[in-house]
Amino acid sequence: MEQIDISFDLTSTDYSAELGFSVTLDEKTIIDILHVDKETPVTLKIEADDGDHELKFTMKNKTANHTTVDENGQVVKDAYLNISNFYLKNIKLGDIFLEHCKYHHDFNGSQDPVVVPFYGDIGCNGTIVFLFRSPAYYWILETIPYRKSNYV
Amino acid sequence: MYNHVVYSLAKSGSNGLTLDIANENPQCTMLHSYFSKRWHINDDWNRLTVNYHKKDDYQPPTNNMLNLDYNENIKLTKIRDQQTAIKLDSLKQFSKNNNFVLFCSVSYIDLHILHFFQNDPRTKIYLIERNIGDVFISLYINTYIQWNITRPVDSVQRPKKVFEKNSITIEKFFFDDFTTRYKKYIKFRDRINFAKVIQYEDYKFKNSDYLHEWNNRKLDYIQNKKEVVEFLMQLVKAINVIDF
Repeated sequence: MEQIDISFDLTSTDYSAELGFSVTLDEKTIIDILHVDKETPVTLKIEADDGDHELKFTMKNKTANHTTVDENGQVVKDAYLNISNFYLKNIKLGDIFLEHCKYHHDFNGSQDPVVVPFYGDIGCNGTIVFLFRSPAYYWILETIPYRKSNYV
Repeated sequence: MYNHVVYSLAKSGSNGLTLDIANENPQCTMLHSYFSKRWHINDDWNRLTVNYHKKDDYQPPTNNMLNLDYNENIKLTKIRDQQTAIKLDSLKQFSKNNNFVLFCSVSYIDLHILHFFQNDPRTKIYLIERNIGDVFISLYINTYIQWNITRPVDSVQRPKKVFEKNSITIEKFFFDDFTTRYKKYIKFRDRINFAKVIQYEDYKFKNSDYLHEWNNRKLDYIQNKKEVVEFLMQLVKAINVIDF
């Protein structure tokens, strides 16, 4: 069993929009925020057995009213959340975090479900699944992108 | 007929790959560790001998030089460069009538060596890569903890080194050494056109002695794990940002 400190910054583009946010580890809810109404530094202490784990970040309660579209159909204002500065065991993961996330959503119910890369912004109700392994230091060392992409 | 050259960072299986290539190409002479310290240069270039010769033993490029003053350091560097030039010249002469297999380590490769390899149509260069954490830890353990068994030493008189679990702290000098080595590795790797790029973890060595699965528990021996992981992450990221 390993104790892992996780931290990240959670922000919203519109704190008046009542966007909800939750985090689960292997289906167990760790935090549940009904309304992200201010910049929220999140700090978690989790206990993880050796092996694979799923950390899920879910945005909820976004409605069509949170998005303003002009006469040409272009979005002029939108409310969405952002996750940045993700630390695992006090090590900033940067791109490693994003590369190990998958974003599951269905365009707020308007289209078929998709699984897409995650770049930090959570624009649709849905779940970002971050896969990692414990012990975390070993997983980080195995995951460092030490190769140039054109050699892969 | 080709010459075959293996390039790698360090502790990346270059010995094993070089041996495999040599066995697959019996017409080639295996010039193991040619640019490091093992080969004696004869006046007759066609008979490069395989015996270790103490007088040809090179000064390691970094660690022994750390305590020297500037002028001493410059002097040693000059001597080492001269030795490398002599060896390169002998290799050029040798290759006129022979084919060879060798690996060229990061510590000794320079632009003259690279120029010779890259411009010789009979030379194929291979890159073998390994997980950088594995390389870092193995290099430290091999160099500073476990005696380097590839060098002939008196087994009775050689220093005994202690390797107790959770007893190692990677010192600052090694971070600096590794940074220098890694930057040089990247600099040359990006200039080389490789005939083949091989992943250590995927490659089946003919001699199983050379295959060591990524034993990430090696990290358990290191007290300053966090510092090591952070250092490697930042190193790889910094080099990627600057060079790619």
